[in-house]
This record gives sequence, C-alpha cells and structure tokens, in this order.
Amino acid sequence: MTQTITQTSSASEGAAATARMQTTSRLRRVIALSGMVPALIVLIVVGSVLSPAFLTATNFSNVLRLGAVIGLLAVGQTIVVLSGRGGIDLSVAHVASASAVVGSLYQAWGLPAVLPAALATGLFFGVVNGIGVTFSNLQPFIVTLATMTIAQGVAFELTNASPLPVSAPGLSWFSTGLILGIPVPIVILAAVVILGQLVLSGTTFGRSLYAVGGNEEAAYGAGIDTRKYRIGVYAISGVLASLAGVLGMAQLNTADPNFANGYELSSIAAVVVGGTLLAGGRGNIWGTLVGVVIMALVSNLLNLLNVNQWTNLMVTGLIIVIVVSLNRPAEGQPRRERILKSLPLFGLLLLGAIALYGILK
Amino acid sequence: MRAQDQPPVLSLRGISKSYPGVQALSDVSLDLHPGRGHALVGENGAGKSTLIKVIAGLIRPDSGELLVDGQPAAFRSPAEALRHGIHLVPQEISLAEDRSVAENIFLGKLPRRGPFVRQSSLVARSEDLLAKLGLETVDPRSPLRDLRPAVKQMVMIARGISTGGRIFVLDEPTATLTEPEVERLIGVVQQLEAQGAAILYVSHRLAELAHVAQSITVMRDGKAAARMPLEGTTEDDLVQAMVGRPVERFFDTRQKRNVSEKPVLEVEGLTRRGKFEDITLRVHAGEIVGLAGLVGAGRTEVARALFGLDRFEDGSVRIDGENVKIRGPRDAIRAGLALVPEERKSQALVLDFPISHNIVLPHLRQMSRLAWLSRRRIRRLSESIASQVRIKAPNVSTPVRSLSGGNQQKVVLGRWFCEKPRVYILDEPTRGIDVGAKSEIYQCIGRFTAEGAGALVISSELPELLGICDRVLVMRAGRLVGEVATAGATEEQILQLAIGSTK
Repeated sequence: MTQTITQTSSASEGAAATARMQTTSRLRRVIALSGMVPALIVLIVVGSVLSPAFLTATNFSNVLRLGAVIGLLAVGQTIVVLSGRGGIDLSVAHVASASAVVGSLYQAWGLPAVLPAALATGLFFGVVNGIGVTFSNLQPFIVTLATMTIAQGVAFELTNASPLPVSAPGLSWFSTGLILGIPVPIVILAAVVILGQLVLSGTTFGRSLYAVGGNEEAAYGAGIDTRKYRIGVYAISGVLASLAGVLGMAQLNTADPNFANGYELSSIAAVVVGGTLLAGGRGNIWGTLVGVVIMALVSNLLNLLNVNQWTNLMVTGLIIVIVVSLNRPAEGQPRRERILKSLPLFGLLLLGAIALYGILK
Repeated sequence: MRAQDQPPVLSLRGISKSYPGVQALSDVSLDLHPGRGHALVGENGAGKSTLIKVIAGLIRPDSGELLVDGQPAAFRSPAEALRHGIHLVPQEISLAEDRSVAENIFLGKLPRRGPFVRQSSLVARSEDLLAKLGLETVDPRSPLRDLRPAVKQMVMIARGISTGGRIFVLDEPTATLTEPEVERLIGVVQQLEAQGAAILYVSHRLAELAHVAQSITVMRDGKAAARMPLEGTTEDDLVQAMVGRPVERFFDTRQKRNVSEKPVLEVEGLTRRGKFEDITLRVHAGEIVGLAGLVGAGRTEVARALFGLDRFEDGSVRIDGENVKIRGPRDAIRAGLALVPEERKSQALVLDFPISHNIVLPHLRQMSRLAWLSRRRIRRLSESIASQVRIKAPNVSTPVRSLSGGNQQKVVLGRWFCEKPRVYILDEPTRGIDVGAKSEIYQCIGRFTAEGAGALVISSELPELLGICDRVLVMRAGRLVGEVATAGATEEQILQLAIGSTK
C-alpha cells in the first residue's frame, strides 16, 4: 500500500544492496529505454540463420556506414518530435542535400571551408524552421514543408539540377576513414547518439525539453523559456542534417541535390519504430538508434536474400506498422495482451500483402 | 420512503479488484433499490471510480458478483451494462461535440426509415425529453459544442432515459456546475427517483446529498468503510469516516500567524482590457486574502497576469515594496511569486514525469552542476518536499499521472516551498480533491503564511474562503467591488457583492 514519502534516513544503510539493485535496474532501464531491443535481437538471429553473409563484421560495418546518414537525420528528428506541439521536421533530407551543395561550392578552399559552409547552411535552415514554428500560428508540418521545398530549390538552383563532383582533400575521410579501426561515419553517429542521449537524460536542457514536449503550459509556468527550446530543437536538427549531408557527399564524392530524397520519411519511420511518441514528450535517442538499425538491417537482409527492391519496400512498410503497434505505449494494458490482440491484424496484413503480391504477379 | 422494501435492482456482493501493487477494491458490497438514491463518498483514491467502472461494465472485477434483479450478471462490456439499464454519467463527458443535441441523445439508435435518419421524429422526441428535464430553451438541432457543461450532462441523462435506463450512476455531476444548475440537476435526479430509477450519486458536496440520497456508503482504502442512513448524519461524521480519524479544526490556518503591517504584494491599477480593470489590492506578510466572484468575473485572469502568463496593459506590481517588472513566469518566480494554477493537470504538471521531476521543474538550474543534473540533489529536494506536504505515494519516482488529485495538488503547491516565495497565488487550490488532502493543503497555507509569506486565494467555495482567509476581496465583471473581513462575515454578504444585487 502507499504511504507518505519520508526522507531517506541514512545514506550508508544497505548501500551495497542498493548499489547492486541500481546496476541491475540500470541495465533493465537501458533495455527498457527502447522496447525494440528484443526485436533487434530476433532480427539478427533470424538474419544469421537465413543468410551466412548477414552476421559478418564487413556487412554490419557497411550497413551502419550507410545508415549513419539516416541515423543523423533521425537523431535530429527525435529531438524535434520530443518537443511536442506537432513537432516534426520534414526538411531534414533536403537541408542535408542543400548543405552538401553549398559546402561543395567552397571546395577550392578545402575541408576547412566546406565543413563550416555546410554546417552554417543547416543551422540557417534549422533556425528558420524554429522561428517559423515558434512565432507563427503555423503547424510545424507546414513550416518545415515550406523550408523543405525551399532547400530543394536552393540545391537545384546551385547545381543546375545535376550532381557536382567534389574532390576536396580530406573529405573522403568522412566516408572511408577509420578511427581505432571503426569507420568514421559510425564513430560520428555513435558520438552524436551518445552525446544526444546524455544531454537528453542528464542535463537541464534535456529535462526542460521533455517538460516542454509533455506539457508546454506547465513548463512555461515553471519558468522555462519554451520558445528558446522550440527554436533550439529545429536548429539542432538542421545542423545534424547538414552533417548528414557532408557524410553523404563524402560517400558519393558528389554533391547531389537528390541524394537524400525520401530520407525525411525514413528518419520519421526510425523515430516511431524506436518508440518515440509523435505527440511529443516521450521517447529517446537510444530508441531511435535501434529503430535506424532495425530498418537498415531489414533492408540489408532482404537484399542479401535477393529480394527485389520493390518487394523490399512493401516489407519495410509492413514492418513499420507491426513494430509501431507493438511498441506503442498503451495505458494499463500489459504488453503480452497487446501483442496477442494485435496478432489477427498482422495476420490480415500479411495475407493482404501476399494476396496483393500474387495478383500483381 | 415507499420504495424501502422493494428488492434491490442491483446488488454487488464482495467485489474485489486489484492492480499491480494496489488493492483498488476489496470485498465491497452495495445494494441499489428502485426509486431510491444512494450516495457514494470517499477520498480520491478510495476506490469510488473503480467501483463505478465495475458497475458500468468498464472493468471486470477479480472476484465477487453482480446481481441484477436478483439474477447473477457479468458485464463483459459497457454495452452489456447498458442492456441491463445501467447508465453512467461520467465526470468528463465524452460526446460527439460536432453533432446536434438530438443526435447525441439518440446516438446508436437514431430513428430511421430505411437507411435515412428521420430528422423530424428525432427532433420531436428530443424536444420531449429535454422538456421533461426542464430544458425547453435548448434547441435539439444546435451542435453540442455550443452548450454549457451542465447542459451536456443533461444530454447524457436524457440519453439514459431514452434507452430505458433504470439505474443511473452519476460521478461527481456537480463539480463544474453553477448553483442554479446544481439545483436543476437535483430536481432531475429527484424526478428520476420518483419514476422508480435507482441512483448512485458520487459527490464530495455533502449538502447536495441530502436532496438526492437516503443512504450513504463511505469508501476508504478500497473498502466500504461505513454504511449509514443519510438522515441524522453530520458532516463531521462523514469526514471522520472518510479520513478514518477525527479531523479537528478543518480550516486550520489560523494558528501562530501574525498579520504584519508590511505589505508583501501591492498591485495598483492593474488592467487588461476586456478582462479586468483597475485592480488595486494589497496582501500583507502573514496574511491570507481571498478573491471571490462568479465564474467569469476575472479572478483567474488577474492571477495569470500577476504571474506573467498573460500581459496586462496598465498598472504596477510591487513586492516587498519594490517595483517589479513581470514579462513572464520566469520574472514572476524571480520576484518571489508562486502560482498554483486552476487546472493542475493541464497547466502545472507534466503527467509523464515522476513526482521528483515535477517538483524540481522550476528549479532545474539549482539542481545542476554546470549543465548536468545531479540525481542526488533532485532526490534530496523532492523527498524533503514530498514529506513536508505529505504526498502519499510509494516513492518520489512514482509518475504523477498515477496520483490522486489531492496528491497531485500537493506536488504543485510543494514545488514552490524551496524558493521561499513572498506571495503565493492559489487558484482554486482544493478543487476536486478529497477532504483529507484539503485539510492538509490548508495546513500548508497556514504554515507558509506563518513564516511571513502572503497568500492570495481564489476559490468558488465560499465556506472555504470564509474559513481560511483573513479578508475576502470580491470581483464582479472584471472589477474589484468590495472587501469583507471574514470575522463574522456571511456567505450572503459575499454573494451579494459578487452578483451585484442590492437587497
């Protein structure tokens, strides 16, 4: 039964037991941070059974290297979604390509010019998004749709709609470089994820952000400058998008205005698969990372199994629906019951997909 | 009392329901007789809501049985309960807001000819029903959205009548109603009883119960703690049964409190056009000042403007004699103001956060070293505050969402303690919370004013204002119209000022 909370009396009391409990509970907390970790493990086991090429260091490193671009977009997307009030950043993909294009214009001065130019472009679009969302009555969906279109226009205008070759010395390091034997894109993504997650869970910024996303009015009433946070999240998303643009440019050796087409939706998919609520206030970056990895591995596995690209898309769509409906935090309902209840729906979906496939064949 | 000997239309026998860690109901039995009203009272979290949900088929009990007309019945869904004539009027009414009143009344059983709805019959039958409930003025064709909560409630009741409901469960039906609306509701409930319906009436307002119920069940800790006839039961008896201990001096804010000559809050000529005008008031150190008025008189708006949530066009605010400029809540907090807003869930709490993080929300800066939060500091501060305001929960990591209204309100009030504010602005601080928590909130108000803070209390419950305040300011239509010293004052005096009658 419940009782009135009292202050903990002595610090040393049962300290060892508490410490032990804390380690196990911390481990459990990390797992619980994303309900999708079990799904990821199942996926890896199934994958390694189905294809011998799946569970290899080379394969994983390749998948993650390419996944890093979407990963960076998804981290920014997570922070934006967490801020609530319909927060979403549709512009990430085109900001990424626009940043890459702007950066490439300065390649004559080398990487020290390319990088700041690209990042500044991302920051600019992010701040525009933030200001637009904060100071107008427009939905983030609309504001970022507009900047997405503008960014696309900028990228096409500057390149005349054809990819620009890029050969800035040092740029290829962002694609093929190694740090302690680990490919640079993976290191960058890992650093961003770890830093982002630490900031979210351990700093005043993170706590305030969750509060703004969970209940903006309450946060404002507690003296939190909600506008600052709202602008901030879009700015962060913009900068991460430009970093993703640089990675993409390094991988392709071109500044291609089309390279990230559709990535905004992939990033949103990764966010929701990772368990972040689109309503804001609930979720985390760790979950998003798991989401990114799941999506990338599924697609990779299907490739290895010689499933064609279009079937691959259909399966990916199904997986989003299934995973999100399993991972949706429903109130009071135990997880097992939820899964049982959703089974018929999945069966139906699967049957429908197979039937559709049969008809189309 | 004619119906006294009729067999019960609904009986609960030994109903139990537990959730992980909580025994929500244990061995509750209850009888409802046709034509009679039964009151259900108890603190928040005592199990009233769970019991109601069991009756309405929203929750299935772990054990125990329900008998309808003496026959065992198990409700697997609300639809089955409805089929037995059990009709729930919930606290928060969910209807199709954009559809018409008539459509809402007959939702799910619209009169039809073939596939088409028979509009004329729909409207005529709705008019009949509304007239029976004394709502001749409501047009059944108007969309529900335009109606006051009280009318929506009547629509729910009309719906119950139209389906042949014979057991009505009303969950705190008067929480948001005005006095005349309450009277009309009581009339309707009496009418239902006269027609042979059984009523289960949940309310905290004991004065109402006398009109609608003949017997009463008091819930405490998931059990039916006491059952008694309403006649001869005093308010003290009920409070004692609800709290489980004698409650002395309910409005306990007076002890050891010295009202000093020194004003802590001075407001002059505060104006927000269209909301309030020329508000000039003073709160002294150690003083509790009430702000009374009808809903819409502008009290909440003044509170919001003082705390920087809304702008004001004119006027000045001084705290401890110094002019302060308040552009937002942050300025207000820094200047020494604290606000407990009207709607704790939507305006003050992050429901997903644990108690601790809700408590430290305004003090995140003090909880951190550089930018990193110190878990230890958060825990230490929140535990100290939780024990000061006596929050009942397993620990400070409990999500605020799962707390009762009273405990949530203690979080909202307690979070300010560590800043030692000079002035507390409390907007309906005890709305919708149980008696035990109310008395604890009063004690808190008494404590911090004894330490030299001032308090401005907005409340629609006049006994509360008269009980805890030193004087009460009255607002009408956006203006301060009078002041009443509470010693020896009556509710009528305040009401007359608030309404503006001159009798």
